[in-house]
Amino acid sequence: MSSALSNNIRRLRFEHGEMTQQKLADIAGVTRQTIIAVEQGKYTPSLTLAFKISAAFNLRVEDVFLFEPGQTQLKP
Amino acid sequence: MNRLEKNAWVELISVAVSTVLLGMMFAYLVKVNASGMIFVMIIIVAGIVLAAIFAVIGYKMESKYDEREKKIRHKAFYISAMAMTGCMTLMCLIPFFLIGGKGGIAVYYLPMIFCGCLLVAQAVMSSVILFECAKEQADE
Repeated sequence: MSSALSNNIRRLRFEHGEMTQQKLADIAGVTRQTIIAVEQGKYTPSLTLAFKISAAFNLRVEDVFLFEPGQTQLKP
Repeated sequence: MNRLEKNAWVELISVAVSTVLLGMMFAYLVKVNASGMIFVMIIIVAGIVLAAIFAVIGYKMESKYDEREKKIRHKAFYISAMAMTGCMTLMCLIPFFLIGGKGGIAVYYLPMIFCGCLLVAQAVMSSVILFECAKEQADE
């Protein structure tokens, strides 16, 4: 069965003092383009990156990323 | 322009410069009819030195990329490998059918075919990276 991974990064960034994509990228150790791609659901992050992004918001991975069974598979 | 895009442009410009330099070098070597062990040794040493330089630069650059950039480069490498295989196949098959299986070609075509295929592969890889970067920027 196909599945999709959605996320709340955009909302969480604004809830955390309007954190910029660049700041989140610096915390996670990736480029701003990668954060943009993850935020838009065009790139599925590795488990390590998912944990780093979640840690930046002091949340658990499942609070940031949502697994939705039955949706279209995102590009890896 | 991000790091990945900048490096792709540098690689593409390097391919263009290398094409001109290699073309001039081959023209000179063919003109003087270079042959003998001294030329074989020069080619081997130059090949090892150049491979070492590119390996060190490539390793240093690769460690700076993040996971998404590495995936884009991996995809570009895969496409460039296919392009190189296709190019090599065409360059070997075309003379076969043009001059026939028992015909002959000058030996200097062999390194030109090899270097040409390498340059095509690198140009395709850089172009795919630039295309992917442009596609992402259009989505932003």
